[in-house]
Amino acid sequence: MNQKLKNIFVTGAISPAFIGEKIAAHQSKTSIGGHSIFLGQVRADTIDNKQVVSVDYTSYEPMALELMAAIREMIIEKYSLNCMHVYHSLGKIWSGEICLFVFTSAPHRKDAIDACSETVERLKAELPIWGKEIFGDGSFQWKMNQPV
Amino acid sequence: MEIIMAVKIQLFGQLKQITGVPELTTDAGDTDGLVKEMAARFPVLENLNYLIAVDRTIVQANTLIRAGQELALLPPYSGG
Repeated sequence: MNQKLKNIFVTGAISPAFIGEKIAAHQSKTSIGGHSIFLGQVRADTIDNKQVVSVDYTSYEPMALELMAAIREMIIEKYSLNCMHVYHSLGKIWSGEICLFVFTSAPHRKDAIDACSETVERLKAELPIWGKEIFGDGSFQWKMNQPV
Repeated sequence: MEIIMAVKIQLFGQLKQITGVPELTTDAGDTDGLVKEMAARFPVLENLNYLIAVDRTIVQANTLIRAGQELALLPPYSGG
């Protein structure tokens, strides 16, 4: 695997403290005028009277990282971003926990917001990641992403 | 004549769960042959769509399989 590829995967949920630290780390980058943040949270859907208690995420990691690197390069250039950070959970994430953190920063708000939105849509559509929704009784189904 | 070598295929998501294994080997010479072989070995896959990645790139048209390539079968994505 290409060692230069940025790893987006974290084991387990993304903690609010981690998100706060990442925001704080940008205080020294004073050409930034706006950040946009998307946080994906595991939803406790009820399907056939059974409630989702967790989602177990797996990925074809080398391919996902290569694709994410290409998306990242394209989006940074398209929106003239100062920077972009993406984190996606792997493993079991309980409902209510954060499983995706996309953070874009630009001199002006519109670029930051549009870049964040496009990155979320593209990563959901293009990255080989799978979520297994686990119910309270131990049964499961494979998650299906909703269209925009 | 080219000698066909068994090529390793990684399975993910539902495919890994349904087949019960994280990887398989195939003697198929191309990706169409691989799809037929998978359907014969695992009839339950008939109703499951999946993509084939060769060296981490999705291939749509029939593609020759060569020894040393990295193959993977990818069911519909559900990240995020």
